Amino acid sequence: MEDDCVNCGAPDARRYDLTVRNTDHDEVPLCEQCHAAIAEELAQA
Amino acid sequence: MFQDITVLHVDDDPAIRDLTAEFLETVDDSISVRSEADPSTVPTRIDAEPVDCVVSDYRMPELDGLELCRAVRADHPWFPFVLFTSVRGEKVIEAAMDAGATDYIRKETGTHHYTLLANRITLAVSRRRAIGRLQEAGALPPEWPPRQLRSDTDD
Repeated sequence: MEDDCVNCGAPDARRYDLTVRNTDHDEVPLCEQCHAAIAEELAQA
Repeated sequence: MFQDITVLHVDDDPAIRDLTAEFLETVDDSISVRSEADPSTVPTRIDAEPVDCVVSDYRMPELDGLELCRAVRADHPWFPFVLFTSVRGEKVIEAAMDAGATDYIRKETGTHHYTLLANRITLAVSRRRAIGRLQEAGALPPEWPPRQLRSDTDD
């Protein structure tokens, strides 16, 4: 089942695991572009 | 010099709460973010905590961002309130302004909208603080804000 991207609202989200502020968030619905941008920003933090 | 700004960010999604806090504080180190999942607690938190601005999602299960804005406006006509949503369309913007939102920021693909959000938060809080200084100096009319600048819910 597809979800909307929680970051931008795009309808083609897939589920990714994210670690933000030392918290693991499992299966966060994100579109591919948002996931790439967020992963890059988090890697630089 | 800018004073530090404390933001209360309201969103029912835990990942977005953490991402918003992380990116806002990274973009502008004068901003610190407190997160809230339950919008019904926001009016109480504004009264009890040193919060300078509310940033709220629109779509939330119990109380949406517009309803929350109206609830805040009931007691805080000038409190900075920014609607931060991926919902698009002029109707949403118009509804946000009618509800008394200070600003509306649309979430976009990527992370650039967090920089825009930080800038708008700083602008809204600076404006509120300027009004506060004028009020303290007795430089504003007793009936302030003027009726025509209040939202419909204040009538």
